[in-house]
Amino acid sequence: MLEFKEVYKRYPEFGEALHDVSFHIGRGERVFLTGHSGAGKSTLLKLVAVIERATRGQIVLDGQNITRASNREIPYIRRKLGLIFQDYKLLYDRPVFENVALPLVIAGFNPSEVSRRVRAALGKVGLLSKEKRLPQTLSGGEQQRVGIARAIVHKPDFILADEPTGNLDSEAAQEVMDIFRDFNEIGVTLLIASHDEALISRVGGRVLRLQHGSLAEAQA
Amino acid sequence: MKRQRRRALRQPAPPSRRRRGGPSLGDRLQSYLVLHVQTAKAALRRMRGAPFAMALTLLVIAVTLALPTSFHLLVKNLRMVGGDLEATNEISLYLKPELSNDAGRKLAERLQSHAQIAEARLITKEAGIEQLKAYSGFGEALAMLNFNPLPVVIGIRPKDSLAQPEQVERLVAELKTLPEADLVQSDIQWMHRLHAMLQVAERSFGVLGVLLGAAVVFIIGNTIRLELYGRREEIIVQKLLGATDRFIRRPFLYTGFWFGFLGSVGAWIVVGVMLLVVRAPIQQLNTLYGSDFSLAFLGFRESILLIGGACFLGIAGAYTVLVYHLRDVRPE
Repeated sequence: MLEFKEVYKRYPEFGEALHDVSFHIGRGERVFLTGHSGAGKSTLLKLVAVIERATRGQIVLDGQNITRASNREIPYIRRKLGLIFQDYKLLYDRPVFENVALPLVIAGFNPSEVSRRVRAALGKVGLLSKEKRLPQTLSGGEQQRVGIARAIVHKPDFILADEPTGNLDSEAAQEVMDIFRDFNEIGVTLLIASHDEALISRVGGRVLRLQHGSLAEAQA
Repeated sequence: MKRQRRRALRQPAPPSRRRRGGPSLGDRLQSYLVLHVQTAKAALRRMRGAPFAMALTLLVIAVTLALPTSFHLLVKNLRMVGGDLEATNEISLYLKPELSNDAGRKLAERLQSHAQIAEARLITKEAGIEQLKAYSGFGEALAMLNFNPLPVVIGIRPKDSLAQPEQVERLVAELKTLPEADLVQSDIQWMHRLHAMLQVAERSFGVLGVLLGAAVVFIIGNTIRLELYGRREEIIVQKLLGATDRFIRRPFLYTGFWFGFLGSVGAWIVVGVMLLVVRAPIQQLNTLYGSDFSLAFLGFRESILLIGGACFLGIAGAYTVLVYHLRDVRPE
């Protein structure tokens, strides 16, 4: 599903963020990416979503070498992914339904298909009754669940989450993790960056540990 | 067509997508059209969300477009006045008084075959005096004369007289050298000046049109630029979710389109009102001069050209800004 081969990332301003990172994630795996803040977790996820480009090395996503992708190909790479952010990145001027519908509208689905899929996605995260609400009227946990619904509405094979529980209390965090586990169980590949070791060990899964930009260990 | 095909090529349904039931081609076409209609509507709604700013921008665009449009109308109407003059414009060739009608007829026939003369019309001494009696009010006085004092006159209508004033002038000079000619009279100087003035007016109209067209592009571009920065977050989220540049540009292009469209309709109305305002005094002038001149408004094609051109300028303004500023709007 995803393979990093000797990937380096150097920012002109901050120096080296990733140093010789290689790993492989198989289809259907559940992988946590952990490490101290500034270890390069976010950078690694940004490379997968082609928000940043690797300085050296190769990244192969679903058989495609995305380090060589042209700017025109980037949107189509991102459509294969479900992205989840610590700050949710919802659009606060429109209701939950429209937020979740956005990936489908972007991909060009027709309106009836959009409605059907959005309702299905909202049902999976337990927010079907709140589709008309504006995001700021929801709790943090609910907003993150909207973010998750938006990330899965186009049925991606691969979900990337950057500190998805970083802004949530432990109860909401557990709920979000439970949702992730459900998706993983139906075959969706997960790569979740988190520094919440307790939560990771409770949920369970393979752990990639970054230390100062290098992969320290990979454990099952 | 070519673009659509390229788009289709660039967007092959990956195997995983197809397996999971992505949109079919027909679906995609339908939703593409729906998307356009929705985007156009949404752009209009968004503009209505800030009615004061929108009205102000539209007013500026309307006035900017009304300027060259009214100037164009001025030139157009002057041309029509000029055209009326041209129709009545004849070179009058007065023959020497001792020449007879027959000599005049022969000369008229000779002139008729001249390359630059459309028509050479003989006015005999008798016809001349009849006309004078009928129109001058000297009928009784003339009747008292026991001889006809009028010379034979040949009325000459040159070909393409207004288009080539130099040729008309050469023709007049040529006619003056005829041994039979006594006096050659024409409105050549006046034609000359009118022609030159219209050309100056037309040229300035062109320059003004280009400048003000550019102004409309800048006005709309600037409005779009402000909106672009206001919607930065939204654009970033769209990009993260896999939106193409085309998808992101589309609502802004529609905003540009609407500004151009509504602004030009406003300009059309402004020019119409201006015309109504000056119509009354022009009619007064008409009655004073006994002319039947009537002001012309924009024709159908001119109106379409104005509105279509403004829509194009609006889209062009939006597109220019998007090309330069969308690059700066990126996640992180």
